[in-house]
Amino acid sequence: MHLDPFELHRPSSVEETMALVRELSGRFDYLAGGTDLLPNYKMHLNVKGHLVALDRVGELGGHSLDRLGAMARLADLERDSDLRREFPALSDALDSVATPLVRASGTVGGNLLVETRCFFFNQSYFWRASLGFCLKADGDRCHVVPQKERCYATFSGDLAPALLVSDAEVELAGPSGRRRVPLAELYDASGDGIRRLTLAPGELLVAVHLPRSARGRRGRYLKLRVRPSFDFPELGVAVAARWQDGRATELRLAVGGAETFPRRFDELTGPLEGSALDDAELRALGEAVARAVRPVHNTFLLPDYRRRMVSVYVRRALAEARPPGAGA
Amino acid sequence: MSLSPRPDAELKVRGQAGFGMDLEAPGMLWGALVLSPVAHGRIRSVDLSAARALPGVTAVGASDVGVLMGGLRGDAERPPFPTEEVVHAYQPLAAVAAPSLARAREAARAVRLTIDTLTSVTEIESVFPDWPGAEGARSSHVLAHVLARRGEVEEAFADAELVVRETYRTPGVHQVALEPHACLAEVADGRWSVRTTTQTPFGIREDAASILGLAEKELLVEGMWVGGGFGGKNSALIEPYALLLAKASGRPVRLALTYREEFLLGRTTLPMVVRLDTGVRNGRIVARRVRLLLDGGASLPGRDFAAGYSIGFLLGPYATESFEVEGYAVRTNRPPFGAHRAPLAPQCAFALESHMEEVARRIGADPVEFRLAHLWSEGSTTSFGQKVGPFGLPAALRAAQRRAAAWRAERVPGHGIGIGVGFWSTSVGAGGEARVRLTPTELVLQQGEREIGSGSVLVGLSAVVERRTGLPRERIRVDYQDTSTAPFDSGVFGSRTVGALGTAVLRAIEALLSEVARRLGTEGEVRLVVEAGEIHVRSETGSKPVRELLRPSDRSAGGLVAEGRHYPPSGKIDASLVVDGSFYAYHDFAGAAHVAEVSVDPETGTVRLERYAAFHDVGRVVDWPSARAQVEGGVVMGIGSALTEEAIWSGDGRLVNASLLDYRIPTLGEVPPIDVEFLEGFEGAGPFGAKGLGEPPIIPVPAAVASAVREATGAHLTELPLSAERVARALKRGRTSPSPDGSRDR
Repeated sequence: MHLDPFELHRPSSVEETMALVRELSGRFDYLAGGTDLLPNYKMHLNVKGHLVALDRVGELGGHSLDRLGAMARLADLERDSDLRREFPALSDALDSVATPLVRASGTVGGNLLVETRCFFFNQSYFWRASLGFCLKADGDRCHVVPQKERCYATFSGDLAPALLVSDAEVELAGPSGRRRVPLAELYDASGDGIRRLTLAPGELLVAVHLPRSARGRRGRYLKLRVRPSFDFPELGVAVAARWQDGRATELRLAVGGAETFPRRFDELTGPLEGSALDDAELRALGEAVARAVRPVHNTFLLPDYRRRMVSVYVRRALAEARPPGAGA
Repeated sequence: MSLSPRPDAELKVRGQAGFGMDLEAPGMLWGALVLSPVAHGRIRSVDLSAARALPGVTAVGASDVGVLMGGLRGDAERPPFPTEEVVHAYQPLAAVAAPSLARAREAARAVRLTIDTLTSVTEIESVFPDWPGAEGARSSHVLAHVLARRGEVEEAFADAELVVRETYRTPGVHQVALEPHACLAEVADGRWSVRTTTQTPFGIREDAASILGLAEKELLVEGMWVGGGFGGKNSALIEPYALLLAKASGRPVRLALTYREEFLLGRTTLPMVVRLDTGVRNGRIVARRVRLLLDGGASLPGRDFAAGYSIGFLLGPYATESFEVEGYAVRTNRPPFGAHRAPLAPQCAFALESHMEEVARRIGADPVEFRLAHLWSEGSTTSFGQKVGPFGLPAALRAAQRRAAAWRAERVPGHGIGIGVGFWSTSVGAGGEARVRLTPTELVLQQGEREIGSGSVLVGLSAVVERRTGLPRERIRVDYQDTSTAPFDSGVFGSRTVGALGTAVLRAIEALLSEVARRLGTEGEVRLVVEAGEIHVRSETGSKPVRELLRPSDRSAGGLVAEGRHYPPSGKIDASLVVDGSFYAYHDFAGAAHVAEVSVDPETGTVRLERYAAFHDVGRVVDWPSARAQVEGGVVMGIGSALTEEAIWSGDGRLVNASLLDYRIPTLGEVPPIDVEFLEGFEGAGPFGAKGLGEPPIIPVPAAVASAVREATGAHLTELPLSAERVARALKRGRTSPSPDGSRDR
């Protein structure tokens, strides 16, 4: 497999980047860590003629307890003990992304915006051509749920659920200026595996902002995959809550790896605000979340199994995030 | 125990060892294959014109072969390209070469294929939902049929106190050698040559020459350093295409598969379904029936050996008074069946061992004692009437039993400990030759095999020389030669390198030493030693430098040369038992018993290996570190077959998980500590009593893991791999039915 030739641009500021965006109008991809984009390019998946590399845009780098630059490397975050202590679900998620080698290149922004995945999409050009291609690249139909309208490719990032339970916001820069929205709004709940983001054309993820109010919550991220050492999530469950006198408040739960976008389940956790989260409540919550998600058969594990695992993982993540002695 | 670094370590670490992917030549073109997008179809046209219109592109298809080969037709059954019908997924239909890889791939995409898709067969059980029967046996879907019986099987079943009937299913597994296939072909002045990554340079020569209709002497094959074979580099795969492109273009052509193509095109083992019926009386097996349905892919009829060979491993190393075994290899539209480290033996052992355990449980016997009561030992007779040679498997099983007991004493809830037995016959009948050359400063071993990574060639063969001559290894050089200059050898497969080629090496050394002794005028033992930087011959009369023993005629040969050959006789089976097809005799009787400890998550079904112990009969260890590494590697590979590896094919014949991300081999994160012990003294036919060790370590693994999962959970699984999904499903079902019925078909 080889990369088709492309033109590489390396702007050094957000402003310069936006000038390029206007010039290249849609004929480019942003290049962050490259650990997902370049393998996809090798398979000729939606290849563009221009890559705008973001490694020299200083504003996108670095991280603190308040702010994670979009170009901050996962390995750098992983080594930050303050961050790990204050955001334990994020800490779990960082450890679970791919391998140390991938995390050395992979970035916060890349993981949040990672391309959705599907058996029928992540294949060589020849393989896809032999099937007549698919909606998501070069074709007009879906092979997972046969029809021609909706793509079911699965969101497979690990950081998003963990940042969702940390009430993170994202800072975006576009040709028409900057804006800041809750992370959940980055993902298009009414979209699909292709129209999965709410970014405007050319809009760039600058940073993730972590509110002080989310620091210190007890949290957990549990990831289902075939090999604990490597694989993309077949399911990712993040939870966070603050505990006082055996009662959970600020309870958050988010699920990734199961549908076309990661999502929070405030409608299910809201009623449990202030409860002790005993085993029966966790079981009921797990089953409710499992009923709400709709995995399809486009990853390695069967949807049935993934769905059953939703309830197990929700229950376990919350049980493990309870303080010692809680839940009685 | 010597722990000196391997002679190839530095070359490989420095990137100086030339692998197939490193091949380049001046003026070289890059090749690419045009693969069939369908598994079965009628070819209307393969239009190369658009590809040929691209600058610098050479393209060859079926209609070009006759012209290029000067009217020679090659093996009519195995043309390089099909002319009328596509018979398997990813069958090459044309090949292109271009000045750059990008152009070659572009040209391959420009080839216009018009193929009418025909219904493809990808599931053996859809061809024969019930057993084939008399009618089915004549079906065009049957590649091979084997049938043998001993004793009055029906009567024995009728007299049995209990009959246990079970069905087991296993998937195809890929070798996943680190290095994909890669070669470079040149045709100049009527001389055809190909440098390639292979387990058998002479085998490639025979195979490629036969496909292209060349005489073997017209074709030269040079083996490169090999990044693993595991059976996947046993026969010609890409070499004929590279040679055709080189002939057509007049330029050297490099053809290499991407790893995805490696998955699609590679020849490997395919699924099988096994039915085992066992009749028991007074605690003894009195009758056994084996039914094997094997996916042969688009193999050619009559070339299948897998059914007849595998079925023996379904009777296993256990005495069986009466039996009937019948197997079919079924033609499907998958790529032809190929070898994979002890082809199908791990899958057979999984079925047989799980079944033995089930039978033992049903009669209230201890599963290990039940096995021991039926296990062959030296001097007993195999199912097919062969006498069993020195055989350490009973001792290995006793050792495994003791280890399992020790681990059980410390067992924690959620863990299970299991034992698996694997029988294998090593140092297969294929022969070979070797040449040694003694100079004043080194002993050179000239032979025709390239090191494939296991160490069997570089370390194993030099260990044989070291042990026999006394010469330290740094003075022994293993010199690889191509097929035009090397003595013939069959190849690095069948756990035969040290056992069979090693015997030829030993004989060459014996011839060398007796010539040396003759020149010294002694009839006593001679050894080679290094004194003052020079090799000396030492005998009871003192020592003398080799330099002084050499004659003028030796000098032109570069030293004192001697040769050895070893063409082992094949064993005999009792032919009166065979009703139809070919069954195979065993050579050395080797085997292993393994112990696995697993933990199983009762909700997710995730199986985790906690620790592992392997007890092997190798006859005699020739090189301890290499032997240990072979066992560890085999266990790791077996863990893949046991837990996660499975080629997933769609109903229309597409391999879905054709990548290293989706086809899940174990990483170090999934590998437990592995304890390796060798039981020596049960001598095989190899040098110093050595038996082969390349294949046996993978065999008992799925059985041992399945047994451990059963102990941990009570779930009796009859299908590989033991994926988390499958285990979770079995556990869920187990909760609703308190006494799981082990004989249930799944």
